Amino acid sequence: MKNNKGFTVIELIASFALTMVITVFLFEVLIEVKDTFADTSVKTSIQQQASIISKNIENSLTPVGSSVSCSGSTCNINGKTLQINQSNNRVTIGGQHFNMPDTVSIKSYALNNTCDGTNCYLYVQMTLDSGNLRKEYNFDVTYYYSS
Amino acid sequence: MKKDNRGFLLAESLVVSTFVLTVLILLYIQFSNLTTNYKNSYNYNNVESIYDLSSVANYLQTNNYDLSTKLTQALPYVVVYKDGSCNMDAGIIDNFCDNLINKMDAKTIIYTYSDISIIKKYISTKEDNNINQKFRDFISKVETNVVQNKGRLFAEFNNDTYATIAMDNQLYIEETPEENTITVGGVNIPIVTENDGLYADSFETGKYTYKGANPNNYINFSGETWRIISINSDGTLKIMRSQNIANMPWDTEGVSTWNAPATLNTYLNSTYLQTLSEQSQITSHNWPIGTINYNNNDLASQITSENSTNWNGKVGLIAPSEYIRANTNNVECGTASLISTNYNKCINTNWMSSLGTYWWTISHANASFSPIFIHSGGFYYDTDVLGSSRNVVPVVYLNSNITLTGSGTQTDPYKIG
Repeated sequence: MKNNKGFTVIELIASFALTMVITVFLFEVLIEVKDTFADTSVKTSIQQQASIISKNIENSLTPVGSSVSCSGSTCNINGKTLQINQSNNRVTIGGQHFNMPDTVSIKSYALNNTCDGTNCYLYVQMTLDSGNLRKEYNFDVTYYYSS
Repeated sequence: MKKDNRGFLLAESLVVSTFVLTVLILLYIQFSNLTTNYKNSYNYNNVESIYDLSSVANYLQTNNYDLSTKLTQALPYVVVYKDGSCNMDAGIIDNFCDNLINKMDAKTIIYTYSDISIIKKYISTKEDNNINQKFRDFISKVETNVVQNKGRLFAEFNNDTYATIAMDNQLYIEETPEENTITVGGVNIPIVTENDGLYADSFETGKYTYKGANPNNYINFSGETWRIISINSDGTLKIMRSQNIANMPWDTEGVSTWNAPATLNTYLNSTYLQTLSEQSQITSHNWPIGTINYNNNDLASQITSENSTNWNGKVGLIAPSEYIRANTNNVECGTASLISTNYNKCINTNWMSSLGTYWWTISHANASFSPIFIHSGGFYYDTDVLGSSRNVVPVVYLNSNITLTGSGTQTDPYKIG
């Protein structure tokens, strides 16, 4: 005889529960991947700009006999001005502007230099923020030079 | 007919559950790999850590901290900085180092050979408290070309980022150099095994020596033509002037050793040094000044003897073994004794012979405590050291961080900077 019975309620509930668990898990993975992608995209953009800024700062510092003085948001490096402009979200080196990527803002910064004899370092720190970042990005580099 | 109300069989349930579980585990593994790769892409060699480490390299090089001498096969790395302090045992003795690296928020910085296969082998076989598991994972993943003679820094920072750079500050991924070349000051120089050119030294690992009748080792220094004798394991270049500067005594005070100091030593490191316009490119270095038998037949023993006594300074003279090592004809000119026998033949395969004869070396004879000079009969010494004037050919070591341009030929010599 033909068996026309459908699923029982218990079977349906069990299968729906299983499907729900898998779907929720998959969505969590997808959301995590999306957030990771967004976070990585912003960090990559920041890193590209940070690389250019660092290269320019390093080029401004001569290997020997550098003269550097810092005050507030500005440093004078061998006659070139390094300035962090928080309101415009950009760094200026010798008249060239290096804007932070879209959505990224400079939340706080610090610029200073210290010498011990002829050994010196220039410290550049910026805390960067963006809605796409999981947590704030800390640009924090110490450049050695000899005075 | 009786209604079939049976549920799933245990076997059916197990099969379905196992299948679902397998799919979830596979997804988790894939996702976990993705997350790890993402973290590594940011935590390994990011811009900040690379520039911070570059500052450490510049600091060590500017202050002439030669850590390469501390490396051994048993312990192929030197701790530069760990847990808030620079390593005084490695000779780093100023407080600035602590301040600089503290500011970077570094946890551990080590210096090791350029050939990272050595440190990789070490960490794969030895337990070591200085290099934790995460640091090991980073080192084991680094793949880079060897930058000869410069050494390499690895760093672990407190924010779980890691970085490595070569000591000439080339970044993590370098261009693939041509085979059998070394990179010196940004210039690729071919290593040869025959004819004129730069040879891997047979006696000192990591050292390269120019040999032959007229190799392309010309370099402009202080507005004059000099020639490169060797590229050393610490990255410094040993160069000598292409012509002598004067005919004068080795010593007029009756001292028997270069570091006493001999009056020529005093002259070269004061009066003469001040005449060099690029003296900032010269680095103080340990010079081999040990005594030798002027007519020996064992070059390896002679080098050992020369290296047994050192003098630290800026301007000196060649060691006798360097004259021998500049010759491509090892069979007939490979020892002091052979050069004495075959002098007329040996001058055809040695670029230093263009300086002629009667010029001083830095060593003195173990038999008489008189300085040795290049002679038409090989090496020789005077019994009357006070009364002898010979030609003086200055030699200096150039900093390992110089930048070179040019091809090293007589018409297009290497230029610094």
